[in-house]
Amino acid sequence: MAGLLLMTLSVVTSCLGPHLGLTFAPDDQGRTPDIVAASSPAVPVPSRLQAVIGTDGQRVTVTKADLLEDPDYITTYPALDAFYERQTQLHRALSGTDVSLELVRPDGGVTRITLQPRTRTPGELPASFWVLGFTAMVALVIGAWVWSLRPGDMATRLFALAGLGLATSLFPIAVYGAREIALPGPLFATLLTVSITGAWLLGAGLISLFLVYPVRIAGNRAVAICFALCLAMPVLRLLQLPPSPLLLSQAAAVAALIALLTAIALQWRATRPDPRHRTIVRWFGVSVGLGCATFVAMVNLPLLLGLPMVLPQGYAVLAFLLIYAGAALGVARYRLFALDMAAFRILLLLGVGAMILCLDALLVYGLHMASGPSLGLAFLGGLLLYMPLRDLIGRRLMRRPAMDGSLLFRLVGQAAFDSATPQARWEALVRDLFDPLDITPLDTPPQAPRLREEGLVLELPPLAGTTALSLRHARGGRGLFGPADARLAREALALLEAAHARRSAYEQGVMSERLRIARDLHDDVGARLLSALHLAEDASRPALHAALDDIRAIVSGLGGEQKPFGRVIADLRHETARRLEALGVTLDWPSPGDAEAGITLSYRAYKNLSSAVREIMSNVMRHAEAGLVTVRIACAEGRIHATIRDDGRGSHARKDGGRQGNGIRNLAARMEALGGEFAMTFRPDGAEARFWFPLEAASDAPEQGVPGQAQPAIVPP
Amino acid sequence: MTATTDTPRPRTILLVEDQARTRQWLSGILGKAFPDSQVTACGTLADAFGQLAAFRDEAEGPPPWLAVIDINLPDGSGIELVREIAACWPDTLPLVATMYDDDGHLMEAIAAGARGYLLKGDEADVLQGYLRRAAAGEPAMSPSIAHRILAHFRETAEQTVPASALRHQQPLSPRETDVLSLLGKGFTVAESAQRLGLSPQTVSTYVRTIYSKLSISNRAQATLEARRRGL
Repeated sequence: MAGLLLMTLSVVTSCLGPHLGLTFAPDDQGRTPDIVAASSPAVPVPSRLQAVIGTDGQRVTVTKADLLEDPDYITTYPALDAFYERQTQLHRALSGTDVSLELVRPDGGVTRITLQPRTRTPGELPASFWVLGFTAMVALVIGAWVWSLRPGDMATRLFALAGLGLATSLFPIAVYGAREIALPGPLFATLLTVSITGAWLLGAGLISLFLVYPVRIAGNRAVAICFALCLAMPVLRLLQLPPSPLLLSQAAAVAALIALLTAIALQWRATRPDPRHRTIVRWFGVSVGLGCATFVAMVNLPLLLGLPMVLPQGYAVLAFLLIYAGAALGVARYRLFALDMAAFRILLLLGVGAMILCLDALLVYGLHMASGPSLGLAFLGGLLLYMPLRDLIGRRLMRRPAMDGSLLFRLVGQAAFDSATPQARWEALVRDLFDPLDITPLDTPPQAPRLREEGLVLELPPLAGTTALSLRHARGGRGLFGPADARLAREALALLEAAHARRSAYEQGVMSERLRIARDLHDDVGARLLSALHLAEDASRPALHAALDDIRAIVSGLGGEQKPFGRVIADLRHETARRLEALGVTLDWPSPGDAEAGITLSYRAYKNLSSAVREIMSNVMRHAEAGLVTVRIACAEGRIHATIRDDGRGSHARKDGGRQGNGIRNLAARMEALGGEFAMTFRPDGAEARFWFPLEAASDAPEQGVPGQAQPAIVPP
Repeated sequence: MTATTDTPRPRTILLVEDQARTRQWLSGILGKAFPDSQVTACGTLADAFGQLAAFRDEAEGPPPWLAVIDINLPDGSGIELVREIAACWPDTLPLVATMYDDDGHLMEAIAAGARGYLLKGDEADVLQGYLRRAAAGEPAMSPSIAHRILAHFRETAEQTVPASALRHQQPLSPRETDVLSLLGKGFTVAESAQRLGLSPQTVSTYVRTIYSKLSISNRAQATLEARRRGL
């Protein structure tokens, strides 16, 4: 609003000044510039304006300085005062109803003509006026926009202040730069002071901004000192303390630029550990630094060194637009000032409002339309333009790496049915989607994906079988997480959950089918085997027993059980003790130590171990006539070692029997197939069976069912 | 628990087993283990309930002193019969016959009131020994059952239940827990007794107590559950 008011004021001030309709060539010859075009046919073109004679007949000579855009090049205070004085006289001379001009033609002849000054319409103001005004408006609007979204924030306050400073500096330049020949001296002096004050406010604002943003590298005191120093400059100039106004304006501007660049460099160093802040410095720091440096290089440095300017100041200020374009894009890309995409919606609405006003103004002034219908038309135009504009800005600014439905579905599908653990699958998917630098588990899981630490972190809730995750530094640290990422995470979670549900339903089906088979085996086949067992002759009973034991092992295998080593030993020990107890044989078999507490056996390892022990025990019970059986079974380094010793007849039984039975032969073959070993030694005072096999290799070893035709190992005579 | 030996009529044993051959076999073993008893064999749950009811009017003489019950029956679970006997036939010792001693149903049967179990796959002589010992109040306990019972009492101890329900809930004594841990490691009653410096009889008494505490605890839990559901 204030911006619009200032703009209007500038336009009105400029329009009301006396105007003769002369167009001057750009100065390049070190003398009063030529008139290259004029609205009045009385003016010879080209020609040079030598003097102005007012209604009262007073003749005022026109110098090169009077026609320049900016009096900044004037190097001494007396010269400046003289300039103001001449401007006052020129203005007075030009303010009459008739103005006489002394024009020098290229051939040296002097022509005196009389013109009637009039006011200008806004359309007749020079282009540089509009460039300056536009830049000032952009600075004001973007500064105010950023500030209004985070009013309490020091950084946005400083940014807005800098924008205000720039606008304050540019509007006066626009006004005095748009004068045709002269403004009243006091007005000119005031405008210049205001402009210089605004420029220093801009400098102070930007330097202070980089003292506190993105990380605070200086205290409030430093910020205050910075402001005090900068705002002292216009005061010093008013007091005429420095040796030259030029030196003050231009040299101090260069010094301020150096201070600003230093602050940005310090920020760059201070943000080394934090990629998010680094990104902000990289983007925003570069745009501010570049914007200011460009302006200083194009305007202040040439003035200071007495070099010709590359571009009139009125256009050089466009460099400042770099800052604001950088800020706006920074908000979009890197959540500059912690603003998100919603900020652009507000800016867009403001823009549409401004557009409607502009259209209205255009219709009223340009097409001379009545204000009622024109406003309606402007609204209509605004609305018509709004949607495509919104779409365009949305697509340009909010662009994310494309993640279409089919790609997401493929990734999620991979994640859901991959053979890795759910946690690994989920983390891989998250990596594919967001490419974060850092993934850590989260202790307090969120309900839904949420952004933390201004988009540095995206927190994800846990899925079935996974922990909640905290993702840091999106896209390899090059960006921040935005609402679009949270949305994507939500979609991925929903898809993955559905896939998980289908998968677990399928697995449940498989499991219930397995359990049904297990139950049938256990109940039906087991009962039949039992019936057979109860009818069988002694010779076939061990085979039936083995079959029943196999069923038990298969049933637990189908249940997918991993048995703790201690429990396997306990069951085996219990079974063995029962059998030996009935025969009155003592068993020496200590329970396994704590070192083996954590070990679990697969169904195959369990079955191999228990069949081997049963087989050996059956042998001992049938033939050894032992009084003591000693068993040691240990599990270490991925192997199971067993030693079973008895104090029975040993080699005598062997001598009597003469040959090894099928059971023992089978056992030796089985251990070999498993990658282990079996050895049996007979002594006069007993026998010893030793075997070992690896826990893991059991997986590709041939499945061993009923251990062959179990026959008495050593056939009695 | 054991009936007096001087009854005029032969003592009866109720055998419930659906597989005919196993029934015959078990009947033979029971006959050998308890020569003074007469075995009444049934193949279904309904038949067993019918036999039991016949004993009620005492026309058939005193109720059976021992009941050997298969868990998987064609018309239902033997556990129902165990529960009925535990609740209404104090003079009958219910034992369950099972194929495997790590069967989940076995634990359920003990909780329902079974005072021991038989493994149908055992050799006949081993089985006879077990039957005699179970009848004498020395029930067997496999490591798997011991673990389940330990786990059950640990869970019960962790539950917060009203004091009224706790009245029936007797936690295991430290000695009973020791006995269960040793049995759970696969030691026999005799071996456990030796390790704990106790007599085998004392350890057998502990095992018996553990059996009954489990079934009491189970009943209290059932009551509690029923009350919670508003039954």
